[in-house]
Amino acid sequence: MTVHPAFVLFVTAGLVGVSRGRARAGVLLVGTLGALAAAAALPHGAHWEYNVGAYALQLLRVDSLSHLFGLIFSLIAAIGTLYALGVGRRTEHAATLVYAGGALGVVYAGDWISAFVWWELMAMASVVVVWSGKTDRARAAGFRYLFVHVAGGSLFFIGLGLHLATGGSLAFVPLGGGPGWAYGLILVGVAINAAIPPLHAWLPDAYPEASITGTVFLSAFTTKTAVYVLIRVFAGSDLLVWAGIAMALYGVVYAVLENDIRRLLGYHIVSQVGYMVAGVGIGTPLALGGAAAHAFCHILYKALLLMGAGAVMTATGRRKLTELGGIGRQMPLVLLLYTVGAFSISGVPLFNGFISKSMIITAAGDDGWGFAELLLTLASVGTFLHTGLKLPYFTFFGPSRGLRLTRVPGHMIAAMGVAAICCVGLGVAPGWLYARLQTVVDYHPYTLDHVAGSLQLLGGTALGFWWLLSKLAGETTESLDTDWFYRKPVPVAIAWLVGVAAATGRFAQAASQALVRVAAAYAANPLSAVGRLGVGGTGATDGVMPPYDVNRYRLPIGVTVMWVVLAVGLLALLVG
Amino acid sequence: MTAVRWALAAMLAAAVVSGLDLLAHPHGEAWWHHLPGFDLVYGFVGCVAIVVGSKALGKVWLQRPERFYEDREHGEDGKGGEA
Repeated sequence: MTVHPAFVLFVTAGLVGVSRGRARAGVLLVGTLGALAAAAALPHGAHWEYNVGAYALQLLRVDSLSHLFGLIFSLIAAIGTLYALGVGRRTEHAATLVYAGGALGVVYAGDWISAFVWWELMAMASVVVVWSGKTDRARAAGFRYLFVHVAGGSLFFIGLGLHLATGGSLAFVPLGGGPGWAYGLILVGVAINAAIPPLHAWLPDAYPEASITGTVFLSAFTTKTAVYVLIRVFAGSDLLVWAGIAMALYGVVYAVLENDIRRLLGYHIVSQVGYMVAGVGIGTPLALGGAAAHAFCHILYKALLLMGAGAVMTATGRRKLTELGGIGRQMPLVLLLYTVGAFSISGVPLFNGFISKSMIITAAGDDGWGFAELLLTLASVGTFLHTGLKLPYFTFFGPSRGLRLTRVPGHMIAAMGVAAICCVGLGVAPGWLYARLQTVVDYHPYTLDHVAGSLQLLGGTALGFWWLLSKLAGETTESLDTDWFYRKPVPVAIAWLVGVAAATGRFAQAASQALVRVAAAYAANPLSAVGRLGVGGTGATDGVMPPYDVNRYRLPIGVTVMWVVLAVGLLALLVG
Repeated sequence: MTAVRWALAAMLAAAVVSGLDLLAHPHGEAWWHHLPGFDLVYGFVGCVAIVVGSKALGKVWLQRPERFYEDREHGEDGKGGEA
């Protein structure tokens, strides 16, 4: 039976609203595992088509690429839900499920319009996940996130409109006709979601402000859905190679300066997605396969790392390197599971990052991008330095702060365990993943020169870390990033605009009061205006309006008496 | 003494993994694929460059006090700019 996994998640989200306690936990587990089963069971070539007006839309299109992304999205939805079980609130659970469903919808969409609708649904649901942080910072960051994604969605929509209006195909495939306005606008819209600098600042701004459980979901869907669209539509664009390299290094530089553990990991999402974007840009079968494989692996280890950071935050109530330290002995299991994630992202042999990241780096070298190969390797050094050495050292080792820990719930550990097993499993047996890629790849990561090179690179990095350890401790600072452009000038601009509006209001009030003051005299005595105009009356020549006098133009009472006497006399004559 | 021992162990490990390069058949075409121990040196130099470069960039330009944005947002009128 063909079931769209997104709808399984939507039904689950609905049932979350009407269940509580253990029943809700059961609904969540059954629902997310059901979605995973539905994704796994989708047969290649399955498609659902329907017509809306003149448009033939395709809600479901299953090929190797959508099958792979559907599988990892539904898997991480299940793992993330297990992690959040009993911790997350009802709204948060529902929002994360709708968010995951939106991402699945984009992946399975076969036409541009369906893809756009799912894309926007994902954006709206993810804002609610950001707000699940329930702090002032989370609320503010959520509004900024919304502002950026509405802008991105609008550009996407305008580009899509241009594409369709100029006779473009509705099918969700590479845009024909070469770069133009439609191509550029859709690319910018997607680049915002892929967090390509300078359009990336929403990510490290918003992700660390969501709830502990919400961040795990955020790390998986938005950027990787964008990577999916890039693979699908923009493969082989040279611009993306440079964008990818810039991303990979950009995240590394900021991670050096970062003190907040989840923001540090957030900058490494930017860095890791950089490899995928570069892979898309290189565009060879190995590079495109590598981009998809790296997205698959990245979702697992990044979720694991953020779950580890979340476990630390749950246990200590703290989130900054300068406030953490020396807790490794008290939470060895979390340390172990975090280390699996750290080794995976760093590309240590036998962990999943090794088998996917190296595909992209090798593809760069093979395709004549030697410079890219070196720079992506440099970013890999930075990844191990921060995620594999700095963060765990200053969190779990380093100087003890005498922290008293609260217990980390078992389901959180279990979720981390599942993700860790997947990371190691893929690292040990990469053939499973390679066989499911959208491109046929003949790639063997475990060659002696590759393993030796990786070990040397990691060893060299470790030596550098050891040497510079004293310089690497967290600092209580925030780093300027491109969100400065809307966080600093916008409040000033808003304050200025409010000032202008207030001044305009005050001026209008003063002017209208003056007008009323002047007009009031004329309203009481319109004839004075006649006098002023020189038609007659008094006071026309002295230039000063005379004070109001009720008797000035009133006829004397004697005139009335005379008319009355005359009338009575006439009446007497006529009647008499 | 422990530090010295660790340093010796690290150097030994480095020598061993660099030695593997001599046994391995390099796959890449570029000159650095054929240089024994290149990745070890690149890892070390890259690590130092990343730390020193980023910290310098942070000091002269990027790093600001915590609550940099909040304090400004709560600035002149005493109300939140966005929250």
